[in-house]
Amino acid sequence: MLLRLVDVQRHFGGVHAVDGVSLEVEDGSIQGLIGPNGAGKTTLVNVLTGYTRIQGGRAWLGADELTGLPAHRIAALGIARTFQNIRLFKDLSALDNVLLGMHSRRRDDTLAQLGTLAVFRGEEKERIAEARRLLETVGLPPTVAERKADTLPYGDQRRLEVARALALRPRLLILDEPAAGMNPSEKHGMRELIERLNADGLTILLIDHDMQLVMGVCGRVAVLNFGKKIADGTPHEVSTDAAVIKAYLGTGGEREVHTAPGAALDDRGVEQVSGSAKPSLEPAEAILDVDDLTVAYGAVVAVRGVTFRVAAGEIVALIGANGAGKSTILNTLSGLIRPRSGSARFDTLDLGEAKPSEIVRRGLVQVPEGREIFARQTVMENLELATWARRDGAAATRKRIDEVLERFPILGERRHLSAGTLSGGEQQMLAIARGLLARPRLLLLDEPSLGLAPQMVDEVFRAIEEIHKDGTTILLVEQNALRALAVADRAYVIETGKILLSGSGNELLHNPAVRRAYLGG
Amino acid sequence: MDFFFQLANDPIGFWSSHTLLISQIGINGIVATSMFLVLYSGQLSLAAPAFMAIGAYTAVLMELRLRTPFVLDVAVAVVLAGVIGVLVGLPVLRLRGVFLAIATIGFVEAVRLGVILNLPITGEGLGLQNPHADPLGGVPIILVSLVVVVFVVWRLTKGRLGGAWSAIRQDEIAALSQGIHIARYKMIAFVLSAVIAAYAGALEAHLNFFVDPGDSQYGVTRAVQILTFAVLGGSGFVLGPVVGALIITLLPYIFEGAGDYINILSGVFLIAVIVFRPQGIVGRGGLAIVRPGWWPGSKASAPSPG
Repeated sequence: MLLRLVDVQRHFGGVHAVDGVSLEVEDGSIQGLIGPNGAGKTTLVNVLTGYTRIQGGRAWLGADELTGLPAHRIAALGIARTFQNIRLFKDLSALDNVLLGMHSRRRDDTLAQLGTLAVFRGEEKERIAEARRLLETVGLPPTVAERKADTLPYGDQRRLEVARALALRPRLLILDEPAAGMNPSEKHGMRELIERLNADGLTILLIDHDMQLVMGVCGRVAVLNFGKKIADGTPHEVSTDAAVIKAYLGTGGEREVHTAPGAALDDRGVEQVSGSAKPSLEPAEAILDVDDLTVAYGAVVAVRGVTFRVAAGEIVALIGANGAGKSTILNTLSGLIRPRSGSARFDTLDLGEAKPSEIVRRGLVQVPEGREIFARQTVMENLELATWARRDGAAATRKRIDEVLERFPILGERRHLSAGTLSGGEQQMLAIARGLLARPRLLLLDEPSLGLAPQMVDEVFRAIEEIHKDGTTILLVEQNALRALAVADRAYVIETGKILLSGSGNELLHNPAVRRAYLGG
Repeated sequence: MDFFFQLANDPIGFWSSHTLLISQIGINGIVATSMFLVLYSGQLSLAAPAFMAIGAYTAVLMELRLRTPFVLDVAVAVVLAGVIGVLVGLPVLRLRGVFLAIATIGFVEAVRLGVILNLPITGEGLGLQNPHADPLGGVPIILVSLVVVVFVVWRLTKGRLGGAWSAIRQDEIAALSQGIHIARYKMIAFVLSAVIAAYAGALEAHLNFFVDPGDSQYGVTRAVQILTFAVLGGSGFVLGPVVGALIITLLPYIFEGAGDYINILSGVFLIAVIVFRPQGIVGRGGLAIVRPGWWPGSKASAPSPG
């Protein structure tokens, strides 16, 4: 065993981010670590690399105990890592980035630098040669060596981070979402790189949301959910494990896991069901019409040619794994991000051009992911702030707030508490209530069940259904697919920025392709 | 323009008639290099005037009371500043960014208001008379010191130490992942910077017959001025803050024809540099001028995601 974690604990306040996780990584293997958003993967990595203090349990790298060591010592012991949101030394050249990776095994040359300047030149030449070799190893052309790190294309930045990590000569390399935001051919290249490094004897711990990648390269995969390890085994074992499917797809409230897509049906089902997922379901009269929408963050294309429509009175769900591009679509509809190409219309309003304030005024309102409430303000103040831009007059505002509080009695009870003290579910209700104050015709909900306990999820979804009954059209983005499909009239499954399939909520509920979109295989 | 006219036509006469100015440029250049060190390691520390005060008062008091040779005065002043640098750095360097700036301003004020203005030995706000000062003889020492300090700091930025500083400045979390002991390298930069500031303070005190405990000498005003050296000159290269110090020290001469409007012109000049040359005068991009987004005719910047 190269890496051994025993009963590792890390809490943040009352949140058990990592709750007694034990994990063993075989020398020379590729171990996968997966789990839904908020499962505690990154926290676990931060604990074992010393970024976050360990609060319970122990960790070893080979014979060296890691428990309680500071991050720089752990790095020097031979754990190198890359970061989910690339952390290069942006203003330095690619070569300098790799050279900095050699810090911990480099002799101190301070005095030599002051005195005879040439003394360390031999060593320096060696280092530069090694850095160039590492750039080559990760597949970067020699021409990038002198370029500033942040001018490199996105995929090359990811590779450069790997090269910098390798410069440490690690015993264990932790890759935190190395393929995030990559296009298929870049992903393919990253996969080859991972396999090649492993073939040279490097042990790798891979965290990624791209199941094809994880299931493809890993010998074993561990699954976290709510800070606990719920499965550990071969990719095949894990992707058919009932608890894993439940963790990823959620549960349909009263529905049991055995009705989950792919758990009961065999692959024959796919052909039949996907055959019926025809665009004929698309409404003729739509209030929201999205046509061939493509959105990119610089070089990273997050949404690729997405087309869908929402008719008045519907609940439409966009489902798909983390990183599929769902939130990007919503943010584009709200005017927060501008599309690269394609169009999105809300009635006659061009959402690619209109100001966000104008979009809200016309009745398209987004409840953002992570709720974004003002934690230090009271519930009432949060609601009042939401009406501030409307200038309806005090009486009308009062009345509107009272109406919304009637819809959410629990908020009425807590109106004088500061919003930060509410439970996650109550905070989500508050975020939705705040959205309702803007009198939406179309309400965009981004991951309303994120991080909530199952009971709270039920309550939030009940509220969503009631709002819908009041006549509000809803576009819902969810990772918790089963829950979303249970309430949705229609749904679109999104994978890596594209619509994979669409259909009525009921059809998709029984379509094993949905499971594949989340878990691969 | 007489000033520059004389510089061009009669350098020798210029040298002898502007000795104090040249000394001041040298002193400010050294202090600017001390500022460079902390900024280069990612620390917005404004503690330099406090360490200058420690250097100045230690050196002058030793001279007045113990009659020790000047070299020993400076050596003791520098060592004392280093020790105090460690003691102050231990608690304060856990802070980052503007919080570190505020804490170090607190230290500056504590030294000036709490110690210098209160103790009988430091003159209780009246300052110290220093009859042994040598206003004219210091120039060669100061200029040589400036060159040495700049050279040493420049070489340090090229080695393993400088690499660690650079990494910490750019991204502490990424630096940690490379096995860089952040607290240690920050402390090294902070203490070195304190030592250099104290050295400059001791030299400066040696130029004047009177050690003035005013705010513009050892207070927040001086701290802001030193920070301006670095911002104006650019903090990416060692010479940047030195050039900033040179220009700011010369500003009254550059705008000498402006009479009463000199402060306004100086202010406009500084703002113009920040707007059109945000990386500082010495920095990446040669002498290129940045056209800000709001400038007529410039292309609208891309919308930021989210």
